[in-house]
Amino acid sequence: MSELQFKSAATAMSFDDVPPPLSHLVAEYRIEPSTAIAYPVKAGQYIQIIDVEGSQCSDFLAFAGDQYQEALDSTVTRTLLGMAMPQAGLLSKYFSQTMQPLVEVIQDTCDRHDSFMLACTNKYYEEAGYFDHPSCSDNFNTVLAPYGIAPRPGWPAINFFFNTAVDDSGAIASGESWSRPGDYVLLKAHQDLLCASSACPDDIDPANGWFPTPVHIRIYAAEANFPKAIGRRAARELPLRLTQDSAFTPRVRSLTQNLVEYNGFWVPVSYPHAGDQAEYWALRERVALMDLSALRKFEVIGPDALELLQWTFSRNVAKLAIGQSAYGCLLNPHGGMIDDGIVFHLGESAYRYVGNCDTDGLWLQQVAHEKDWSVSVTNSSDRWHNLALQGPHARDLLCPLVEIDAEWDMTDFSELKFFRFVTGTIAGIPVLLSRTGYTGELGYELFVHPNRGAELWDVLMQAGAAYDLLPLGMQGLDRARIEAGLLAAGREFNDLISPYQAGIGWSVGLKTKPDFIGRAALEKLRDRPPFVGVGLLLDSNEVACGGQGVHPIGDRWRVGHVTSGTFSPILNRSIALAQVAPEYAQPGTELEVGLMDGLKRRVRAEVGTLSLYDPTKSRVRA
Amino acid sequence: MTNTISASKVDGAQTNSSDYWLWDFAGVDGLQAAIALFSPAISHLSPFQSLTAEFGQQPCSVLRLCENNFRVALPEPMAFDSAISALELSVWVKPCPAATLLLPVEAGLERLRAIATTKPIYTLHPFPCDRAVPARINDLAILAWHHSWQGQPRLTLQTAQENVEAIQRALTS
Repeated sequence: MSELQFKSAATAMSFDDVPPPLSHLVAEYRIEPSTAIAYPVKAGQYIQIIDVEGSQCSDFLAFAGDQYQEALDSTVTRTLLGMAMPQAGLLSKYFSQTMQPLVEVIQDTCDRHDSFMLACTNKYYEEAGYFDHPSCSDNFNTVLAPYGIAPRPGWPAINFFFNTAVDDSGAIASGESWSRPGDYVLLKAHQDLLCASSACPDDIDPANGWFPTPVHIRIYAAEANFPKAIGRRAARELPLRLTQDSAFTPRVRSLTQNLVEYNGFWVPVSYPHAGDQAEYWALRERVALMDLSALRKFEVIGPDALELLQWTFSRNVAKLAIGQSAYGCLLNPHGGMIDDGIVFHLGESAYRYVGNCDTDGLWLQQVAHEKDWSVSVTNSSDRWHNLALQGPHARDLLCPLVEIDAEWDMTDFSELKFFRFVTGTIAGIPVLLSRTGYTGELGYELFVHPNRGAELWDVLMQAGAAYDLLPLGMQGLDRARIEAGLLAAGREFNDLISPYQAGIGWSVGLKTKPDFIGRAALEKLRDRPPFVGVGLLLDSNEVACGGQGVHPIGDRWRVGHVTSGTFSPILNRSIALAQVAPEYAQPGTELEVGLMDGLKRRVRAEVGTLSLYDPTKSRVRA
Repeated sequence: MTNTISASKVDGAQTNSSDYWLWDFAGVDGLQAAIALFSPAISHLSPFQSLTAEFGQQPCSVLRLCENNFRVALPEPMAFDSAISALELSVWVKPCPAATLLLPVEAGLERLRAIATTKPIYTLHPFPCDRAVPARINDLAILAWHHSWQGQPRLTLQTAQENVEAIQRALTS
């Protein structure tokens, strides 16, 4: 075994260049650079494929059946999942040609792989002028021959850590792997398998960073229990973050298995026997409950806390009384939106910023440091998980449950106004109750320590039964927020889009506060942003997709693009959020949305306010 | 009438013949057709939810299969396709070719839970009324529909014609 170092649990060898095992080891293999191995795995066991030094691809094959006749099939897998690659979570299995699951992704710290290309072949190297160059396919042929598996000139493999992407023209581009030293994929075998893994020998392009390195394989017992997780990196300074449960996720899981990863948390898509539309209507007509713990919370405290927020946040924070909050955005110097969020004024020199990104805190810390301000910015996301209770009966439901803390000079919870908050208890559970939301409906957000989260969920679900409350998933929420003209990061805004373009120019305190980051750029953008956020009412039941062009009637050229689309049940119309040139942003303007390729069908659309549902916000203010 | 299945045994109970006529309609205007023919309450349904409505002065059940896809159960042969055509919407309509097995509700639910599997996003535990669940019995696809029919709860299994005998065997074995 010159290329294969094996150890069983009883004869452990030390590999100090890889992270410690995740559990008790059944077996462990080192694949030397530019080689491959074949190894057996029993049904239920786990396979960890580790990129030892980083930027190293490892192609993977699996065979089931007594003659190894059943192999992984990427086309079957993509078709069954509707995804280019399985991901840890619900759509996680790799299937065989007979549509049977062979392996399942349990954890993945890289989340950038390839399932379109063959394992590298002799032909590839020969055509580039390199002869007698090792290839993954040839290496696989060698290690699979003892099992009677016929050689192939190219093996359709799962190419872990191979960085490829299909562009709009259909070309498959590849580049250096995104994986870092120690990155891994953890698979669960669903059948007894013969597996083969490679340490790819490609040194003639950037796929392996030009220098092939080893790959490490570990096998764990079927009895091990690993949570499903996807690794995300938000910033160079921040550690890899694995998908986590919130305080409420165990309760959510007891009701639905339809969860997806969202911003580092497992969140429900919808609930069985309720579903998107039913949950949506519960929100609009009664009351709905949803876990929004994926929001990030930052404590901004110190003598210069106000200065920092005045400098970085778009709103005039100085106007906020204690117990008041404001929606706005963090700005960059060219007037782009780093993130949107809410600032809560908690005390004399104490604020909380609630946004979407871990990097928000880094930005606030960086600015405070550069300005030499006396203020601390700490991430408190692990101390505050939050539920949104939204809908016309939200207040009726909460009022009998809430005891407001004495310091708030308010005893009647029903008096709490829009963008105001108090602290108190619900059934003895300490909470911060904020009259805010992301639905366009009367509602509250309840922040609680994770230790008491499950209790709070139970209390609200129990009290909600009288109001026919439903838990709300992301699908229903997305319909509601598009109707209400509420922005989603990555769709309506990013760091290249100003608040004027996104449709929240009203949140920029040009007239209400002195200088702040991005002010100079925003003063120019205010008069004529390149695009303006609007709502569109489509004259069709077809739903528009993000990116589709918006055109003047009868003209070929675009005046904007759709950012989000949905069918609005309450308006019984197909609607969209779009960003169009200011000349075309007046409500009532008739435009066209180009569906499919933009030519085959144009659908008339009338420009409306960004919030097509309840544009005066009478419901949230009720 | 779509199909008739002979009586058979489900854990000591009897299945009966299907006694309703199923039509499918779908298209970009499918929801608007459903609203026009039945009730605006249709828009409150999620996929695999159903409600009792009225068509041609007869009670019927309407099952939403997808955003713009519906299946309607009628108590007698009726010109449902003509009603759809009269709407002049972009919707196709055709008789549903699925075989339908009628199961006694309680025994059928119990048996289904014992032998049927679902994708993780669906569940037979619980399986309330006016819901449908796509599932598999011995790897054969079924659509189980628990709904109200003429004031009574009803449980049917829809499946491909060629699977009927195998499904019946699985239900009764």
